Amino acid sequence: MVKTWCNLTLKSIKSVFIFDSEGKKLLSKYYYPIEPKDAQKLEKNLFDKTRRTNSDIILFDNLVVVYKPVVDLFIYVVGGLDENEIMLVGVLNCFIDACSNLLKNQMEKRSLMDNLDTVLLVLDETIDDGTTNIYQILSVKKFQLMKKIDYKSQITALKFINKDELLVGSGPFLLKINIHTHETKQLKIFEMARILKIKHSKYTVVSGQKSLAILLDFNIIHSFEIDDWIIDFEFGNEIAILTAHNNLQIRDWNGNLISEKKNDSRCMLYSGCVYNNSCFSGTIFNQIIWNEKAFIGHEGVLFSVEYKDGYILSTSDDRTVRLWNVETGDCVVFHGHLGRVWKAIFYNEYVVSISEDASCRVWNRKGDLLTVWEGHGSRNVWSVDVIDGIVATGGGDGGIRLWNLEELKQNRIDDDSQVETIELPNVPKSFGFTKNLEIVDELGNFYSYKDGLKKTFTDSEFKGHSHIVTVNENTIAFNNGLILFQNRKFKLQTETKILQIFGFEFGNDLIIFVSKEKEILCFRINEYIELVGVLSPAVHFQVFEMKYDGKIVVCGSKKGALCCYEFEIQATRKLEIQEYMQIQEFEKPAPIEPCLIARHIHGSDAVTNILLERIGEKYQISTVGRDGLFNSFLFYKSDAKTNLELAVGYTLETIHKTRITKGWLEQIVKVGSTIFLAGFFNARFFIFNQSKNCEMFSVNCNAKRIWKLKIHDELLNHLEFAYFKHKHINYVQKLSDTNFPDMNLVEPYHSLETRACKFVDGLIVSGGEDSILTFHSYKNSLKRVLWCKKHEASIRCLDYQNGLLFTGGSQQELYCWKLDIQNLTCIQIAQALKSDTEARIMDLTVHGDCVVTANSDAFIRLYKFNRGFDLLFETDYHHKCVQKTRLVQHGGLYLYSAATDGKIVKWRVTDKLEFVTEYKVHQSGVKAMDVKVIDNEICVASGGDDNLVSLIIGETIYSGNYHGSSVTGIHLEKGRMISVGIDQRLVEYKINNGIEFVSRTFVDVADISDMDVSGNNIVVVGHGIQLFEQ
Amino acid sequence: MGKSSKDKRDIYYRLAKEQGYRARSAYKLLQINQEFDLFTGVKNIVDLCAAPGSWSQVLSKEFKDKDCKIVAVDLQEMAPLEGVICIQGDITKESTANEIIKHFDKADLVICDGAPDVTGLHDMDEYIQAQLLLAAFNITSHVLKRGGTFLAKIFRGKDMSLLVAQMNTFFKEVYICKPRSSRDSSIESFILCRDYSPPEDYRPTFIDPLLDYKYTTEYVLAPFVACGDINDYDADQTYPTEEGYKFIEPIQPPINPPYKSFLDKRRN
Repeated sequence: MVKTWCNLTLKSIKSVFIFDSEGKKLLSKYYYPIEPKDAQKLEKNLFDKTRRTNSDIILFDNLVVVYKPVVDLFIYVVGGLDENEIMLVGVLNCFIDACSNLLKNQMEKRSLMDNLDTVLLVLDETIDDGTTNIYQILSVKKFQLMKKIDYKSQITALKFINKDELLVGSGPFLLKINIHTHETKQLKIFEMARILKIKHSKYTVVSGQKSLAILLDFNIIHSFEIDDWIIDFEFGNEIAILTAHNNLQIRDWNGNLISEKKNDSRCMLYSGCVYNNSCFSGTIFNQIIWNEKAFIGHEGVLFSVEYKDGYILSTSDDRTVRLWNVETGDCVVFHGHLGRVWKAIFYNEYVVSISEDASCRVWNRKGDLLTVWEGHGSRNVWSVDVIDGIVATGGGDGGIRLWNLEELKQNRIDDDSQVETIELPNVPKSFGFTKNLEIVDELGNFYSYKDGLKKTFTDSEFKGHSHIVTVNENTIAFNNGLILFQNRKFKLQTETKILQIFGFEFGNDLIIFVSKEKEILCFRINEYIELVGVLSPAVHFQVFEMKYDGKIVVCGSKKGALCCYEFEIQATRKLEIQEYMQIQEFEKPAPIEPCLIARHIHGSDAVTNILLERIGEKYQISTVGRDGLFNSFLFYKSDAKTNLELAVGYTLETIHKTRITKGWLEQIVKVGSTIFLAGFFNARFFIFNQSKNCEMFSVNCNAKRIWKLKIHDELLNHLEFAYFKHKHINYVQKLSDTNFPDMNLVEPYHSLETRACKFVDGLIVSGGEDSILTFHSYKNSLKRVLWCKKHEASIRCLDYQNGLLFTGGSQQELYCWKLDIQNLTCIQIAQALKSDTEARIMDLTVHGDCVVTANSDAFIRLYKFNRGFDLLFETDYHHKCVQKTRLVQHGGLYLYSAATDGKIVKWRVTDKLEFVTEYKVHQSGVKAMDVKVIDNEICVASGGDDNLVSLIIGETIYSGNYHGSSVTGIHLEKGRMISVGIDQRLVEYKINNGIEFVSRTFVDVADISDMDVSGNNIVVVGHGIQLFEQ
Repeated sequence: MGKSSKDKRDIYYRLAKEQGYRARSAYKLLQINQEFDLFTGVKNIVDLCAAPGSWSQVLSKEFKDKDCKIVAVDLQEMAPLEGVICIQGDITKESTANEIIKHFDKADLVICDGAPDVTGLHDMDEYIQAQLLLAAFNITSHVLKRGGTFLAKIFRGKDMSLLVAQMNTFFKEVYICKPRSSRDSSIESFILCRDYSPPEDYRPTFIDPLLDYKYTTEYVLAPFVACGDINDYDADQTYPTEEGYKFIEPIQPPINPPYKSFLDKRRN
């Protein structure tokens, strides 16, 4: 009981001190009796211990000390050992904020000394006789810096602790992720540095830029900053650090320098490796230097150097990986990467390398490429680690993937020894998978293959060119109008040739569609047979693929078109199945005309496979084609006409369009919720996991024409693949029982820079250079919920209004999307005409039916939007690249536009733009603008390339310099303004007859290009995304 | 996209080819000069990291038939230019400094347009650029006379204020300039430092070159100056190609890029 009370006491602060940067005491206050001599000693030791380090909390002499450097001051709050450090930090921040407020943000030694009485007062207000005043903490909360909620960016370091847990460096944050449960812990390691290296033994040591931190059990125990960039380090009783200026520094755990060895070669390093206190230095002059020895051969700078057992592994700007024998200097060059190679590591007999080309490659030590793993968007894999055959890669897209090195050989079949050839006495003609592989040969012999060949029967009428179609467990064979099904044969007509047969199973019934030149016949087969429908083919439409779900039929043509029929089976006349039935014996129903035809959905290449799924009242149709595209459409009844060639009453909307391969796509297989796409690239058959966005299996088979695939499970642990080669059937089976974790350990963000973001009804929508429109939910953490690919080039701007999302970007792409948050769908419904595809749409703004774009060809374009974009008016008034546009309603509709000449122009919007006035605000480009009506007056906030933030109220322009670089995001509200810039600072202002600085928060996202604010949430995007709470 | 695509999107690229400059960066120097009048009263100039030589070209034109000396230094070989003394050397070596000094007593102006190939990791790129700038400044401190001017490329990223603070201790005036020919979307700017007046106790050395400052909460900002006439071409604007337009090959393609063998191998 006593203990419980002990924890609840508010008498918690033991002392507070302030030192200047020299360690001179400016102020101290003890809330417990202490001898002056002891106090002096404590203060001195404390300062010595903390002056060098970068952390903000230490355990010292049985005390918990939290502290913070502010300009030239060090401020400390000391509590007992069992005190809650968050509480102490709260007190510290509260005190600093309150002081900072009172000292008009001049929180420095001089003004502190000038106002010492006030500061003491604040101290007494905050801490009353050692009891913290919680109300005080709460009341000054609004002056606290922005709270960092979540962050996604390039993954720059990875390290397995064991086969279940992975350490991840994401910006300044260290994550510990369980690769099976995905349970994640997060810890902020550095204030301003990005984690670039992680090493782990009993301790975890993390370095980034000039900072280094030592952790035990995921808690920082030491951290310090040195005077040079840390290239590599080795951790033991001391820490050996190789610096960018090629010095080897030996430091103790507190960061105190013990000795320094200046390497002879005074050359800057990009990379290097410390091994037993000697350095393998990778220089900017293309060499690896080790002691007196230089390893010369690379033709570009060195990006990584690793050493193990007498061998150096290096990677370079020259696109190669090299393996050097240290003794002899012999070198093996690994060619294959298509971009700069960032890193390579040793693993048993393998070398694993990662590159700018977004691939991870596995090689043997002779330099033979064993596999290529792609799955990190279009650029950069930054980090890699391997344990027990599990390779983890971290991408520029912020995603982490796991790859199975153990199954390397099973997933990539290059060797004939992994393929079984089925020996048949005669030449096989066709085959298909049921439970077994069913085969028919040239003599009409039928075989079943499973762990050996079994002849089932022979039918001499199926000599020559027979075909087999399998539907689940059923096999249908056909040959010249003769159809064989479950030992029953019937012949339809002898005159017209059967082109294709498609079969579908519905309960006990088998529905088959027989495609002939002039018609498509549909039969229902059970104990009896009936002709249930006739479809009339579309003009110039050769059916290549067909799907039926009982209500609609979707056909794909040989020339890239899609055609749909509404078709429900009505019973006609049942006939006993007899051999040689003639079509005349059936009552022929009236042919059904197509209800929709869409041409060129796969260019003029064949639509090879269709996936038809019902979603409520609508259908989702996914198609693949020989142009390598994967398309998804929504198909439904409506009364609107679209630009496709179709009968009134149907709509086909594109949801998704991606080019998966430069080769062919041939098949879609959906298992559970996973979509697999199978296809060919050159001579290689591959299976691509569309849901996880990566290739999972491939066979070097050179057999594009006749092949069959059966996938048994979602993880692709079991699959069968059969193909023709040299008049034989080759059979490949992959059967593994490993419990390999989910390949997508962390979902990616954008693979390249994000250019625009916006809060939209509980989601964050963003777009960027990777041209993918992405939606994240942001409650507690950022989670990708939806992504759409339609833009060909980069997305630069977006705006939202009443369920309609507008996006614009390079190549003058301007789209309107219908966003349905409840069902999480976003469908492109309209597209503006292009006048010059070289021009970029820099910004856009929407109000009512009015859409205005800013264009790089100096034009402002005004559109009226009504299910399509009608260009009403355009002007090149600015004569410069127009960068920003904003519409605002204030007794009429007004437009503000801004260009690279730093001018902001106000226009009145009617059916054209009427010039009102212009303001010269910035020296050069206007990179951010927000327009709001505040106190019945239009206010325009802007941020410039000239580092200034400006505010126009009425005719007055206020501006101030608070950023060290271009200001790229700005937000305005009543009494308040927030800006963000390339200098990675988020600045908050009060508006009170001008702009008044309030606070500055460091942002961990580089190359910031946009910001949005919604309620308490702030999102900043650039090379990554960060979410703040204010 | 055809060859002309870059011409449309990048007007200065097109202009440079039309006016015979080796690179578009020539306009950057011209525009900074327009604003700050760098060349008046200047006799001795050093161009560091000069290749392919567009800044030297500007100098060579500007100081034609004038009594002055221009020394261009680069690690790589550079095609010769009239009136320019080319030195092939490493700017981190004392021998290079000595070789420069051989040609004149002290320089009035040192310029440096060098930049590394960017990797895409912004912190890394900014750091390497900062080190290059410091190396350039280090050799500059050996050759620049008191009161002289130093102009160098800088990346305006998160740590720029450190360099600004550092240059402030050596020069009386420090500006950040952005010529209009430098793209708005690019992180690149130029730091212009005037009136060189190093601290009394500063001794230039090659043994312990300068390191950049530590991170502090201090935030030093330099005045920003956009350079060039507002009516100049806009680097961010897309300009249509006029009638009779012909694609011109670049004057000087990159010499020995690191991916040269890679390309050769791919072609075969």
